[in-house]
Amino acid sequence: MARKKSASFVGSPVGDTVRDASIFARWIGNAAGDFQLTYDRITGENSHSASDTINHSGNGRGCPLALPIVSQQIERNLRIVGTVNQDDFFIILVPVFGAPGTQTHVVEVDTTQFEDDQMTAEVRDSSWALVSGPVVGNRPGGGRAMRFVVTLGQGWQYLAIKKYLRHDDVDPNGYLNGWRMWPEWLAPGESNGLTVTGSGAAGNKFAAQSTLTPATVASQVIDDAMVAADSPLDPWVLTRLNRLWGTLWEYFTGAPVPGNETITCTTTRDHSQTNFTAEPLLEMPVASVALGCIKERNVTIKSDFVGTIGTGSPIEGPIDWVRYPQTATGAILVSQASMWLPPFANASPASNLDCVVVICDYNTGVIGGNWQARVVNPTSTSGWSTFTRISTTNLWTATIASVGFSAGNENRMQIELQNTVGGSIVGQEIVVLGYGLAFDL
Amino acid sequence: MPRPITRIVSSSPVTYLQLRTHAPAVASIAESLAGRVRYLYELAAGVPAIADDGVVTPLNPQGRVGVDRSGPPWGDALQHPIWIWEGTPASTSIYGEKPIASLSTSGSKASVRARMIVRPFQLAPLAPYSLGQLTVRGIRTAGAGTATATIRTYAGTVAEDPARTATLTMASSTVLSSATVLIPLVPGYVERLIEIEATASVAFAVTHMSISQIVRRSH
Repeated sequence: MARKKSASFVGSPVGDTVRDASIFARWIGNAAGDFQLTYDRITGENSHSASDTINHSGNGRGCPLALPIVSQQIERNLRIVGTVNQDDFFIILVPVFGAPGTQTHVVEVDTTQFEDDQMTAEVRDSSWALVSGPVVGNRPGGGRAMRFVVTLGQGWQYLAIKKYLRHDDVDPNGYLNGWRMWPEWLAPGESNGLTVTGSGAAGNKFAAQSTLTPATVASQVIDDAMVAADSPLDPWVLTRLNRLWGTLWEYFTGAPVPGNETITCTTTRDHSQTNFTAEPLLEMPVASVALGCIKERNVTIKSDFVGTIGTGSPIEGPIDWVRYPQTATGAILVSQASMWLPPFANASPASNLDCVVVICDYNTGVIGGNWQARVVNPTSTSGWSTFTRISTTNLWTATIASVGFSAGNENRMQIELQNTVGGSIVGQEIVVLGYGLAFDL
Repeated sequence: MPRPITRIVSSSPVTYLQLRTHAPAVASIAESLAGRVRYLYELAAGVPAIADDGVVTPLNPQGRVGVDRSGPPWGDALQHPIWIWEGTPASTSIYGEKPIASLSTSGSKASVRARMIVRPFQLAPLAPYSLGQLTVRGIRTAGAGTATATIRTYAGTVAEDPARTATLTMASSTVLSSATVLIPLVPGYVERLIEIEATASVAFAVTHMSISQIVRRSH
């Protein structure tokens, strides 16, 4: 017998299911076929095409997740000391990950304001070509938050926020508190009518199955023969369809079927591939962390650099900002941050947690390629990834793929750098601008 | 004049009693079974199952069609970080990095006003996004003994529920310690004052903090 499955959603004509309608077998056949199509698209089971599963990428493959990209506290000065000229600085230059199905993003940067200075935001791709902007920000309500609206493509890009910085005696209060970035939501709503419990929600009053596994559910198929024309309207088929629907509802929505308010599905959809081995994996940003600050001109010009190379506290440039490793060998802990990660699949095929680090090599010579980055957390240590240059700029980026993580737990991610040349560090210093983490398939 | 829908849709339940062998074959059974399949398909696909009929399910909290993993019934809430303050202990290896706070005297305090964006979600009792877990990590930096601190959060200037405090105990100068506090969240802007008060005169540094959505489901 062949499993009844629609090639695409068919539905049942309204006239087939109204009172006094003639009983056609097609409504139950189509309902069974449509259900099993829905089941396969959600679970990836029964060899359903991987390019048609529900992975929340939009365009019929599930509503985009639209997760915020970051809310980062920074708390650093925006004042220049020494003889470095006042100039435009990228106070944030950081990798950001655009998830499928979301483009327009809002960026807010909390800074002090000096007179009527403008700030701009721009998004650039992996070749440092403009994707969006520069757009001029505005301060809604005259508050501290400078807001921008930018367009973000899919995948890794760079967000750069530019501000004119002044000497500490001119703008002694210059300060950056933090920043946030999130996709534009059509409605920042709380609820739109569908409720978790209560008779108004979709559902049935027949208890869902106590477990949902391929072994127990995938075997409960509805075959063509069960819903063939001229066959009886079989209560066994109706009950099976009702039961399967209730189970899939609880698994997919995370909500109990009304009348069965204590959830009986033992699990809900978590993309761990433990319930369904072909369950689609998700792409989503995890965090973007801004660290360094450079003059805009240092992206392309190796002069007028910020900071005093190879010494202790910088006596040139933005106060408390410049970050350049001052030891020549060994792993240098640059940053550590904790974050809770979802219970995604962590074995092959892995959910692929990537980390992208960006640095600026503004010294004479080309030394960015001498540096490497890795991610260390309590459960794993990645291999070293060598920085590669972004086009002809002074920016270098390293991508650490398939970073290990503890699924469904808090993860303390430590970003480490090392200089592979060793010996004298003169001429080997860099500015660490930031890093981003994302599930990037 | 709006067009009538061409395919049945339903959110009405049907009981197993209605499906027994000798139960009457009423139209509501067909309507419920066929209609609810369409309903679930649309929630999964995020687009109308029948394009010409338009959307037949409620919009989700972000204003789009379908399950968006923002919490039941819009799918299991995705666990992810909501707010991050990275950091690392002071080191000679890198300049510019500094601990978030360094305290050494009992009664001394440090605080930060954390401002974050929380994705739209259904505000309901026990909704997964309604609580965020604040994690504070610190380490003893000098001397012997055990450094301790109390972590509090304030909404505006008002201290939150006294139960929403935690004690950070740092007995080691080499291994980080952590404390967690659950704080209420609402969709959109959330602002909290986070206060750390030393409760012993042993020096310590707070190295990094975060707030994450950690609950998968409420049932």
